[in-house]
Amino acid sequence: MASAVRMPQLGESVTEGTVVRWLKQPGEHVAEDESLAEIETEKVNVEIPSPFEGTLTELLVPEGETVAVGVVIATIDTGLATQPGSVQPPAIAPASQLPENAPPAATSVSEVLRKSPVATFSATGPLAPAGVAHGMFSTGESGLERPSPENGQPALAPRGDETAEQVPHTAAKAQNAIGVARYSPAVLRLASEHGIDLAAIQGTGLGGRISRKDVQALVNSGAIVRGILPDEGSRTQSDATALAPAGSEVVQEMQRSFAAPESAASDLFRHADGAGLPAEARPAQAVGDDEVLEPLTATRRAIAAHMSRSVQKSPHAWMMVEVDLSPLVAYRQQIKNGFRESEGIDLSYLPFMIKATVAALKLYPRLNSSWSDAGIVLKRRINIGIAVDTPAGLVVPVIKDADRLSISGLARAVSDLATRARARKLRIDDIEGGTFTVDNVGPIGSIISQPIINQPQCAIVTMESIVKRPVVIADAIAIRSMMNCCISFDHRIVDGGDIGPFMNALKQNLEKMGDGTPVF
Amino acid sequence: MSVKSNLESIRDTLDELMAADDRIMIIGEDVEQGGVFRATDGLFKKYGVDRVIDSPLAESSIVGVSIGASLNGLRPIAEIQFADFILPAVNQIISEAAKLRYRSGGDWSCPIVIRAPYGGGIHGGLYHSQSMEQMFAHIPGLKVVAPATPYDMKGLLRAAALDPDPVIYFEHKRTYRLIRGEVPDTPYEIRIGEAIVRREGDDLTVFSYGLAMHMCLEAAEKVASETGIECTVVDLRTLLPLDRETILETAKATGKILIVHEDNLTCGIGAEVAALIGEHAFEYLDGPIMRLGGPDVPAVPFNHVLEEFYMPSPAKITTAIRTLAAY
Amino acid sequence: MTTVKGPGEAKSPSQAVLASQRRGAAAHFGLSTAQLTEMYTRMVQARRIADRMLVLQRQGRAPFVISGQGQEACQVGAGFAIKRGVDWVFPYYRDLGMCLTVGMTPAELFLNFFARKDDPNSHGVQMAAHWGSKALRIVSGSSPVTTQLLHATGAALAAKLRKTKEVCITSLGEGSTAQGDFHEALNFASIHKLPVIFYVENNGYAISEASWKQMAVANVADRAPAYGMRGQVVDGNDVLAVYQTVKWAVDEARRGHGPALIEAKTYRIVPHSSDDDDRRYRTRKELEEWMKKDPIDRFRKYLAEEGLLTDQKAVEIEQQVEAEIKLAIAAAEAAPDPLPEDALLHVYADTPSDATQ
Repeated sequence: MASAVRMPQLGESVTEGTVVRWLKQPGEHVAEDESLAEIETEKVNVEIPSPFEGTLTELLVPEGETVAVGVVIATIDTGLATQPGSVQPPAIAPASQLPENAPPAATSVSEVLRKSPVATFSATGPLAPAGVAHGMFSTGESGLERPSPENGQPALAPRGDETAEQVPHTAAKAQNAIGVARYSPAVLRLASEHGIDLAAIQGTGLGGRISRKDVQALVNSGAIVRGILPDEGSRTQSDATALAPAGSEVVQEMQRSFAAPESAASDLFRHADGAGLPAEARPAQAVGDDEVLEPLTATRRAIAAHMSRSVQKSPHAWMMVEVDLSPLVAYRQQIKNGFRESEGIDLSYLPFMIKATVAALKLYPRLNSSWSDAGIVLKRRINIGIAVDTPAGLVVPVIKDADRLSISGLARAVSDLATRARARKLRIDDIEGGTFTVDNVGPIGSIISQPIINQPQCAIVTMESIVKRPVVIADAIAIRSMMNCCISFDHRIVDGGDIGPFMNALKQNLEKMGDGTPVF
Repeated sequence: MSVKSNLESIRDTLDELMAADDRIMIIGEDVEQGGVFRATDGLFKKYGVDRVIDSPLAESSIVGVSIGASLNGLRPIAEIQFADFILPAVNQIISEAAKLRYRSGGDWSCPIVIRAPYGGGIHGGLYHSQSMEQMFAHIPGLKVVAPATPYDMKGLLRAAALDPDPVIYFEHKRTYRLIRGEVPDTPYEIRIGEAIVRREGDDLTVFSYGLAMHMCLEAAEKVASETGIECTVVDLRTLLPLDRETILETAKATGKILIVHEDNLTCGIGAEVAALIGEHAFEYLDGPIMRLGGPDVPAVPFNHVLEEFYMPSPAKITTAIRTLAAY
Repeated sequence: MTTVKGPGEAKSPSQAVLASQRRGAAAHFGLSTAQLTEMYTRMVQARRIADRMLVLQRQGRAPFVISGQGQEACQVGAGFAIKRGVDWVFPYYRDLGMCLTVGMTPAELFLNFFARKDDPNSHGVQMAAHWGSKALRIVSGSSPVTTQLLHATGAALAAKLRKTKEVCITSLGEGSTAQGDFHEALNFASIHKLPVIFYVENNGYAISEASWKQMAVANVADRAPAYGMRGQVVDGNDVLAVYQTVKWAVDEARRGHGPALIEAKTYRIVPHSSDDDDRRYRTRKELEEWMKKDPIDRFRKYLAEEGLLTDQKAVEIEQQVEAEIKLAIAAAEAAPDPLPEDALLHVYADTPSDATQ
């Protein structure tokens, strides 16, 4: 029985993916969850694990080809007489029959995706909550239109080849299938016109569907100006859990906070200012004789859109502190070889920086937050985004609960994320949920920079190059290893009076580091 | 300004038109005695046998003779006693009246009005209740109007009578005495082809005409007071040509469309309105275009239970509005 | 033969009809020699034009012909009996001869045949032989038969109400008398005593159906008394008898004496149309018998015997007609087709067709 492997939806607004490389060839045995292919999207590059165990029978998409989400890219012979995935539409379990560990009904598909260990399933299949397909106008009132199964059901019915196996939390997904998988033309148009991240909106329609009015309310709230992303406060729901949908975070984590040469991109910003439109839909650009037009890549466009919006949306304020890193430099010099030997990884300054930042955030939690019209949303978890250069561009994986890790743990997390980012083996989970970003610009030779906030976070802090400079200490001039730390912050959320203490705390945390600082 | 019923408005408008223009004459069954609905009451006495003509009981001749008279300088207003009985005249209407101008390169024209009381809710059974408008709304060369209020009855009847082309003027007979409203005493026209927004709301747009339009207004008020759902209600008024501009504009404003008519659902006016919106306002749609029409049975049955089952009602429309609003 | 008289009516033409068969009929019912010659010329024209159209169709130069060869006396005689340009004509599709007589030119007939833009009948919109001319008061007709009877009745009603003294004549084949509109029109017209002549050209066939399949009575006109109107059968191949009979009915109508049902007995010597093969439903022998009664030959002999038409004049007329046809065809064939977008015109007086949007 051949079962279909589909192009997964790697993030809410992702509509297509490119098969970079097939990791298995027809005839090979594939274990469940074994990596099948390397997929590249505007958002993320991942390996997709096989949803089935069996023999790979056919590769339907050649390497390098881009196909829409949901398109069958390969088939696997599962050896079973009947594979639900290929024959039967799934029976949607009533809520009462859900397993106890099923997520709550209001969980969005994106949350299901995030909670799942691997992003292996498609979120494209429109699934109908029980009763929806036939509920329309079947009110029992006489004379009302009653859609026949032919015209009423298929539009909302499960795809015949989509299975409960492929979709771990079918019921939860079904609850939101209409809203997630099927935006109405009006919703898509409004979102496009106003640059709105639909994944960030909790719909009020049937089954959580996002309606035109949901989007319009967001626009009318004034929080949305054309070309600017909504922040959480402008969302229509006050429920804090609803304010933190995955999609926007995925995207936000992906945004590098300075003008990186390349960055992981998001199609969230498609259509804003023409960016993301198909090439043929964009106006032709006249190029002079002594000019060369370099076509915009999707990544370039996404960066452009995001940076523009972030600057327009958040009133950026900036400050810088000087940090005397001499003790830490000496300490690190002293332990780094031993660390490499015992741990097998390098010990850079970044884990120290993260540690110091996290400690400062603990003192000043207001900076670990997001703006909303309803109020400042303070984040309990501290998830630190870090920049990683990869051959394909910069990505910003996230160290979850960074406050619970030691220097060594942070070093390992940094190393792991960096390695997998360069190998294009990041998972969706790796790039979601950041609450604050640390930007190590030292390697590019910067001593002062002005980063752009990674929306919807409150602030972004840089660690600049460590340079030996003469400084005055107790009226004497000394040569010290100095590093500047710059911060860009959202002046709506915090003022200089908040930032000063935070930056000084960061400075003190760093300057206190040195001999004896616990690494493990 | 006087308060009149739909029927009184029609009658007074006929009187006003005939007084001002001696080309205008009335022909139909029983019209000398005022007609079965009394729409021509008093006109025979006032204008005489040359202007109010009792026809034989033969609908093809009512229309065919009207066509001939219109070719020779008169402005006949024909009355078909019940729209159900217009069928024997369909050859004259579709083969002749609708095509005269086209088939003669504009040399000949056919300025006639055919008044036809239509619709159910009056215990008229199969053959005194039908909605026939869809058949004619499909025929270029005709104009089809279906006014719902006394004001519109006057304005559109005047426009129809003075129109250079054949106009079929459908009067919902249940509204004859049910609907009352203010009507100016001076002459005025409502341009054929103009819909009107009867009520404005942000949640969804309801298109209707005739009796059902009044039900839509009632339903809209009910859901507004009970749930806060606010509907725009558009009275199409003219069914051919449809007012594309107003339809698209009001459809785009809410993105949720409900079309209500008493006529059978299949190939009714709602199908055309839905197609227009689907074709020209697709990107504004926020839900499936929904139609609430009569069931696809041959006609409105007689027994009151059956008739109620067939007919639209504010309750049915309310349910439809809520369903769509919730989508 | 049935004639219903009202008070003060003129005598039935039946005696006059018989008289026309005799040499020296007094002043030929008031027609001058010039008029008689014109009458003959129109009949020749009608025949030659129709014949020529069939040839052109067979050459592939036009798609369709429907014509009325053999019915020239019916059509020309009736056309002469009305006040041309004043009275209203509601013809049927075989009435090429009637249109010609009322004033349509061979050039216009060929413009119609080739469906050119400048065709006054329909400007290329309709199939050929769907006549109409605003200037000549020939009202545009359709393909469903008998509808025009009600239009003639309505126009007559307007003429009566407006006291214009106009008379309407509408022609039809005997097959059309089976239609409901035939009944409705005669009934209405008679009730209101309208100035309208229902003129049946009974050519024996409705496409393939012989007239006995259309009715169980010998004569259409026998139905007239049942409608309360005068009725008359006339020899449709005798142009003067037709003229006399129709003129009588027209005059009566103009005097306010109401409608009439005239039935001209004639014969269609060609198939129904260019798409029809009449050998399937009638014998050659029957056709040959009727060819011997050809109305044009008959009228030429009559005029010759009366000393009103010399052989030389007859030949001149033929030559003149042929020359005119040749010019008409050349002009019509060279005339422009309508523009494609002309298909969108004239749906309404004041608004473009929806099709343009």
